[in-house]
Amino acid sequence: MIHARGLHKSYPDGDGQPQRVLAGADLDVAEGELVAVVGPSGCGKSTLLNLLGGLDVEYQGEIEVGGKKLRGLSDCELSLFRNRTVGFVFQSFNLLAPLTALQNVMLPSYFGSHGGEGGPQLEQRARAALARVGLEAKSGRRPAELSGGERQRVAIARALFGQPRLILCDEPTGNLDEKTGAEIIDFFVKLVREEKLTMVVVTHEERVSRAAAKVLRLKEGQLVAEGSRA
Amino acid sequence: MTFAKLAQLAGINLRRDGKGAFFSAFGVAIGIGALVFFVALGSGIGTLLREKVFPSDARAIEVVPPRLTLSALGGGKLDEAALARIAALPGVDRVFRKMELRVPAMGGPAPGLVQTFRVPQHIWLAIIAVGVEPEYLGSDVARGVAFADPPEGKPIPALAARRLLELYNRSFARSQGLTAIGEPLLMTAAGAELLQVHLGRSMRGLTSYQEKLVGLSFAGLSDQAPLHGVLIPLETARRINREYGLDADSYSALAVIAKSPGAVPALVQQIRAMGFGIDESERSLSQNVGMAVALTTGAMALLSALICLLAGVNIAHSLSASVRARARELALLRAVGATRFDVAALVLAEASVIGLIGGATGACGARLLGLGLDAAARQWLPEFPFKPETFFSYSPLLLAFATALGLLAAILGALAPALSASRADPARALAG
Repeated sequence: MIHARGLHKSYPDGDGQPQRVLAGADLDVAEGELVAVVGPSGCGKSTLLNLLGGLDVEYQGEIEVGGKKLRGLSDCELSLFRNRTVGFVFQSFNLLAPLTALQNVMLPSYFGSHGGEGGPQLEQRARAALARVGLEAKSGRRPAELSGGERQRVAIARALFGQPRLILCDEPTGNLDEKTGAEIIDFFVKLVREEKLTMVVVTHEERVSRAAAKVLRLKEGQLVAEGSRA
Repeated sequence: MTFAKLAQLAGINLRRDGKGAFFSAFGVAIGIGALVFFVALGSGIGTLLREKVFPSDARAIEVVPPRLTLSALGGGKLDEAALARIAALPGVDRVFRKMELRVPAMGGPAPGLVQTFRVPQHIWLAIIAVGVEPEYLGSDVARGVAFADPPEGKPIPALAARRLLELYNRSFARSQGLTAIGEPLLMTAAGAELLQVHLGRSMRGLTSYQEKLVGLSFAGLSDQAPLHGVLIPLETARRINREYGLDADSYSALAVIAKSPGAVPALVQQIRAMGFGIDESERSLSQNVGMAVALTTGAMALLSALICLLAGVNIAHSLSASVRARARELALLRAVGATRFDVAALVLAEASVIGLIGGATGACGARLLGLGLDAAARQWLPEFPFKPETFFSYSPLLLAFATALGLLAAILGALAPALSASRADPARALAG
């Protein structure tokens, strides 16, 4: 599903000097695989995720996702890629406060054609996504009226709305208590097993690593395999 | 992103920051409102000047003999030959003859007027009459009145200046405690003999001319008539001048009507080159007053445009702040599939809604203010000559243009923030 070769990425530090976060990192993720990327804070885990999701286009190396090479894609093509092929889940949920849970889930439908589906079909699809995360009854609530776990589940439903083949999660349990975090991880495992979704989870939590088929540690800009339970 | 979805997202964002959107739209409304108000006021006053105070045809040129005549050398005489030469000039549509009554004349109220309306008998006025062709007056001649040289013993039809009635009603009648007369009522007197005129008599008393008594009947009101005199049939003026042995062949003026207002300057130049003069007294007064109104209106409109500009700057400032505050949110839109163009379009759509609402509110507010001021003027302002029903001229085009200008100001103000939002790095914004 994902083949990345020789990824280089650096940011200017406080003195304006380039600080390398990825130094020739290679990554291979098979379809239907749950991969955990671990490492200390600031080591470049989120950067890797942004590169794989086509959010960050300033890098060296090659990335291929689902048979599509990301380098050279236009802004429209990359946007379509993010809309159809990838679903993002963030640590801070990133829900839009004025929108209801249902409207937040439907947010990707504002962009792209979605196979010519009309409003009622898209709403039905969003309700189905909310039902999958157990929040159908709270579809009319705004983020402020939901608990942290519920907000993250709405964010997951939003990531699933576009029926993507790849889910990229950036510290998805970082803002949740232990019990809720465990529920989210169980849901991820279920998604991968039952729906053959490919999932890359950036985390530094042990319990995520334990659930992953493959654990990669980002160390000095390189990805190093730690273990496999597949 | 479809237009409907764009509008939906823009609406959601504007509702969230309702206060900021309100103040931005308010700024646009003030600028556009002021612009519409001053332009409508200037246009209304300009129309009043052109149509009522100094009525003149933009295509008309008043040709007069030169002040220094060279008649001895055969130049400067406005006769049939000169008329033919002028009529042959390119750009001339029609030429009308004007001939002054060259014999002095004094008039007083006709007996019927004295008996019916108790007008004092011993009022004398110097009669200044200009003979013109009936075609020159268009529809000004009252219905049922023949504007032609009358048979012996019949009164001469004469038209007075329409402005005279306005001055009488709004100024003279009020100060003298007399009843105002409406134009329709005055027209019922058409054909009646109002004045008895002593041809050959001047204000100095007896002249060398033989006196002759003729009647002057009311034939209507015309904007072509001079304020100080009346218009009579050309053939009557010609006949009387001839009877008194005065010049009955050359004209005191020719009214040249150009094919278009644009042709006037070239015609003026050519006519002057032929040795004739142009009477620009009325036109230049009208132009000077019109210019003063236009300059004042222009200054006010410029001030209003500056307010619009400031409103645009305010929108730029508030949208820039909004874009910065929503950086993460806009980055999320990019993460779920928005293109750079979608993000820019969203910011521009928000500004467009602000501009449209502000522009339309300002235009409607200015219209309402104008209606209110007109009503107040009718109620509170004393009557004065040429007092209009409305001081404003609001055309649908002006209102539409102003609303569009509000939209444009908002869009221009939003360009920089929209560009900045579209260029923002979503990965960095999402990282916080």
